[in-house]
Amino acid sequence: MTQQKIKIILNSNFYDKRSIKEALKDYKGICTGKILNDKFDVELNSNEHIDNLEGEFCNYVLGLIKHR
Amino acid sequence: MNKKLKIEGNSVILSINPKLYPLETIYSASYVFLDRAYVFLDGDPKKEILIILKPKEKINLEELGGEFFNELINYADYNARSKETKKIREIILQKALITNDPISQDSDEFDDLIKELEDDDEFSDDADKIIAPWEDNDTTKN
Repeated sequence: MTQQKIKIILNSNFYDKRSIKEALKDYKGICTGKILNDKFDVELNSNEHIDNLEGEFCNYVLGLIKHR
Repeated sequence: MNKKLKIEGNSVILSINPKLYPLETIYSASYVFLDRAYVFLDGDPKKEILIILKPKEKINLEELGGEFFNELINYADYNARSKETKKIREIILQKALITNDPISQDSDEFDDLIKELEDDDEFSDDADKIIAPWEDNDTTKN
């Protein structure tokens, strides 16, 4: 089993903190994560390798912004 | 190659002028691509917006970028027309709601309209007794 640690920088001009927090909550079954600073550096940790985790996460956040 | 479209590895980076396309339009176009590509938004919303598209399956990156620009035009037009027709849509909705509003049907204006129709010769001339319920005119009934 390979652990995966990903750091994503989400531009605060386009992504909002509330959506990122909600996405992190929804992703709890897949990985853990946290917002590192006000520029929305997000760190995702998972116990197994997930293809394109960062892309899936970003798309998920965008989807949440759409429904807001 | 278009300078607004740059290919880097397996991603295509699009440079968008925010003066041409508002953020709302950029979001709308991005949502269309969520099932085909990973979409990352970056840049400065006042100077230059960068859209990074990383396709989920192997496809022509230049074509994908081109499609995104087309989608931008599509949504820019849609939003512009939507704003243009906002007033008329509101009027139509308002009229529809008023027509079905029982309160407004109880109003004096509504009563006056009914009276006007009753006074009208065309409606008062009931030679065939159409206005009376058919049960009252039924002679075959015991």
